[in-house]
Amino acid sequence: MNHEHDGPDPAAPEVGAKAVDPGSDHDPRWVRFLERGETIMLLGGVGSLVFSFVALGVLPLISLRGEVTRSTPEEFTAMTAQEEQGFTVYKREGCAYCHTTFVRDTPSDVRRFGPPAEAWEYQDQYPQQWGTRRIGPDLSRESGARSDGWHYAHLYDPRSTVPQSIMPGYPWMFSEAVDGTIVPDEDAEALVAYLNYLGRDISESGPQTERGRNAMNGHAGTSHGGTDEHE
Amino acid sequence: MTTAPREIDETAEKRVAAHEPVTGIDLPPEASEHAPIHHDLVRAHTVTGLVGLLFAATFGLIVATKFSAPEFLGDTEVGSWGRMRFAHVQGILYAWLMNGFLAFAYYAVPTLSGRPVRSRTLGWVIFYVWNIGIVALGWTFVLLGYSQSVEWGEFPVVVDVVTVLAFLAVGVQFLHPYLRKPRGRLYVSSWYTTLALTFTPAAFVIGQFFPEYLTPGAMGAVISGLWIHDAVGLLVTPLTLAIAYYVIPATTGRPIFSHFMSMVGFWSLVFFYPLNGIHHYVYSPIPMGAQKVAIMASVFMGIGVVVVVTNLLASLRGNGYLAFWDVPLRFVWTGIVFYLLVSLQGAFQASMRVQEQIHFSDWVIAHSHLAMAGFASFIIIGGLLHAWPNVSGRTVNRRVANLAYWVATIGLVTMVVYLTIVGLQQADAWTSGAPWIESVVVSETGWLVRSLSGTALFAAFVLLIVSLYKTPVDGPGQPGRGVDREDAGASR
Repeated sequence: MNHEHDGPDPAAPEVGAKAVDPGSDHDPRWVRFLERGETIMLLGGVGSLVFSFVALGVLPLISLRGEVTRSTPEEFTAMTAQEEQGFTVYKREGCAYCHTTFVRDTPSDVRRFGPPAEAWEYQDQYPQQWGTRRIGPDLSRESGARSDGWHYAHLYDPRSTVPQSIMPGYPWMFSEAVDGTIVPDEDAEALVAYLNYLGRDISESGPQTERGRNAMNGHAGTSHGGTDEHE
Repeated sequence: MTTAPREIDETAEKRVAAHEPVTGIDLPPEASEHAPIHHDLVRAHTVTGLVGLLFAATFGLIVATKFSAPEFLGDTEVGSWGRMRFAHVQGILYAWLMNGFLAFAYYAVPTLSGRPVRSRTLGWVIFYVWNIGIVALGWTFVLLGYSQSVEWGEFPVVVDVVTVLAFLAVGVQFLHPYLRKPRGRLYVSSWYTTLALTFTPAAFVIGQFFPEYLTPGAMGAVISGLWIHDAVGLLVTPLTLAIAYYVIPATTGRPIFSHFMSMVGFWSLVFFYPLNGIHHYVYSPIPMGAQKVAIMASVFMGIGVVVVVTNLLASLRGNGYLAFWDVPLRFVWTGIVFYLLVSLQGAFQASMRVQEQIHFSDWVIAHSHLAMAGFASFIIIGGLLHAWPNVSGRTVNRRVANLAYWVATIGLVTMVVYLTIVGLQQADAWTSGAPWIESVVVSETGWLVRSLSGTALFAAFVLLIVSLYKTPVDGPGQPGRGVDREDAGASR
């Protein structure tokens, strides 16, 4: 069964709007109106963009801005220059594609990682790195969870600390000293500084919103940064 | 409002029975003279898109391989996981899907509008800017570590600027003929194209620049959520549906089943799809009202998709057997079925109790691959194969294209099934309270199968390129095949 010539014949007249369109001149006026290019551009393209941007962009933004102003605790500190550099490395290497940095207010998230994310914690992160996939664990409660040495060993060769890990190593962020030891470069130091910054403020201040406190009360005594969960 | 089923087009039936080309519905000859198709631009975007797909799929295969062999290509920055992931996602969007859409737009828009596109010169400017200024430059930047870590927007800001300009130029190129169309009424494919090209430039600007400069943290997540789904729902989906709505009547010779259902499907996409995005950040600090609206919009979206799919498949009424013979139509048909599956899956996954368990797992990755590799890619491939004989003077090698279809279908279904299983295993490991690494260990088999199924997809893409290089058809009995429409028009 040889049916090679699947497409229309170019020599013959081709698909045409007139015949392909089942609509006719007898259609009601509103149908003809909806099929005009100008209508689709204004109502469809511009209208739905403005509508969705206001409904699910501007309104949540206003609400969030108010919540950040209300709930930011005194303990909040902006990132230091080194932590900022670490954030840049974190973004550049796509860490957020395997590690989220927001704890959801669900029982299993709170039990495993600690207090749920609050909007004020992220107020100096451009662009946000919440993430949509967890191949590795959430990192937003990483502050104080483990030593700098552990982090350096883990970043240099993840399998040296977690044998079954599939995390990529970042050996190029380290160099070999004259005595043969491996020492972290500036980027690795900055990245570890950033990891230690994640969750530091909320661990000092505690949850600042009702949502956060409720989630914690539901699981009292089980949330301490999830230090033993990652290994 | 539904159009009564028309008389069966006996001409089309006879042509199929005689293995003759099934021409679509006829356009008045004088209109096609005024609306030349730029065959060279269709060919250039088709071939570049498929080659770009090979690159993007290679990046994806490297990413997948690293799940099973983390040290693979891991010694250098350029080959590291994160950068390959950036290159994969952006490559699929800009190198493959967009080139495919542009190819088909150059093929279909002049016919549907009866007008030429704005300018051939502009077409070639867009071609080079798109593939050098966005794709090649973007890949180079992200591999060297200059990226913007915004999901679906990983190319750096300098490339974003080029992209905005390119989107505007694409808008000028294709909206021009539609706005100049006599009487102004457009066919359903044209609605979708017009919508995508109007909505996207502004949505892109908001999605790329707000999180980077204006809205930090949680506020940026609101905007990023919108962009993730605006890119999928208001760029990729409408341009894909435009192809499906074109290829089916062009192959069967019969009009779309229901004009009314076309309208319901279109306007439900217009109003529900842009509201979906925040369902990526459920149980987050984003106001609960916004989360719930996004979830409800996702469910309504699913209902609209059922209407669209019903309308498209019902358009084959009495001609369904064509999908067995006609490989391009079969790609489109399969893509439509994937569209139904992926949309129902998405509506289900968006609901809160389901998200609580399975969000962040590989089931979501199954969803994204069913959408991009299944729905969008299958329909684009169908559209490009459908157009190819008319723009190249070469038939598509049916045997090779048929093989590509089966390899791609089996590869993709395997990938989606295994990622679903792995996603459920991961969700189970997380809720059980076992140490985190358990969720990695249980995934090992599934990740290996994912790499193998990805290899099958890659092989299918190679076969597709091969299928385009059948011998020229300008032998006796087929006058006019292979003649550039433009040249033919000029000499008339």
